[in-house]
Amino acid sequence: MAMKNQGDHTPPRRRYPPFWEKGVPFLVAAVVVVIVVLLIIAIAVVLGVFPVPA
Amino acid sequence: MNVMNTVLPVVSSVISFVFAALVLKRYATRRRLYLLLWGIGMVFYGIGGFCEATYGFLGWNPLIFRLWYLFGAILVAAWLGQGTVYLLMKRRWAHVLMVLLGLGSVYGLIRVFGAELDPGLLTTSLHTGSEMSGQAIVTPGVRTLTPFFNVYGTLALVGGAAWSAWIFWRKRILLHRTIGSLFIAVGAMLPAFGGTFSRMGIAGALYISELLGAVLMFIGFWRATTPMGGQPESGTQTSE
Repeated sequence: MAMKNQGDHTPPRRRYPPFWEKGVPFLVAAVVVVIVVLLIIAIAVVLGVFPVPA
Repeated sequence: MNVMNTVLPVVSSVISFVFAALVLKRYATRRRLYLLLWGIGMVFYGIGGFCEATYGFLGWNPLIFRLWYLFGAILVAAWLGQGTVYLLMKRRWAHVLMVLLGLGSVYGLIRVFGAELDPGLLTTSLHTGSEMSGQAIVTPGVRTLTPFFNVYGTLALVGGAAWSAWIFWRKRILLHRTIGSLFIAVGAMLPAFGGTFSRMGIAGALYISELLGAVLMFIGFWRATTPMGGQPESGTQTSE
């Protein structure tokens, strides 16, 4: 039983420093949003939605 | 001639060439293809800045313009992104994409150097010609190439860096690479934004964003390749 308890013990989850622990998901999400926006703009330019002024 | 269109491109060009030298030096010892492609990409970045500075100091020159458009506007993002493709994707797929990029680059070179130019179109548009712009290209179809290369490059470089940061964060490992990847992602996005703001009429936006982009990517590369106290140097697919 004691052996089983020892086997069940899981080490505490590793964590980053607080700023990076909380900040990385937001930063990655922001980057993804920006990529999507840039993609939309690029597609719009290719389709001629934003014509280049002469 | 002003600081915006002379000094800024000189500084970003110097930073890019120093960055390229460090990356290629790393390639010389480690022999990883992604380092070679990043190094080549940063050389292209530096050529773009050099051409912008030359235009700012000396004015119009068709060769300088063609070099700027080929390396600075069409190829740089795609070649940097191809480095990330080699870092993150299976080598077979990376080779296929590399062949396509190589063929596309040769096609771009032929089109840019065969294009008809009209420098007068620069002075009638963007900031009365103080900045380089593809508007000087008269031949149709040449400027259409740019979004395809840049979308591919931005998706690969920025998306790959964001993906790496996310994977490291989920595993809570290699904090220095998480931070470095985020810096690279943000730095790589800036020139794309600069181009957009420049089209909106904000003077200097392109050159400022290119400089900041080079600085942030440089910091990101340094951070990603410099372990923080006591951390192991390897361990995942997204590490070296």
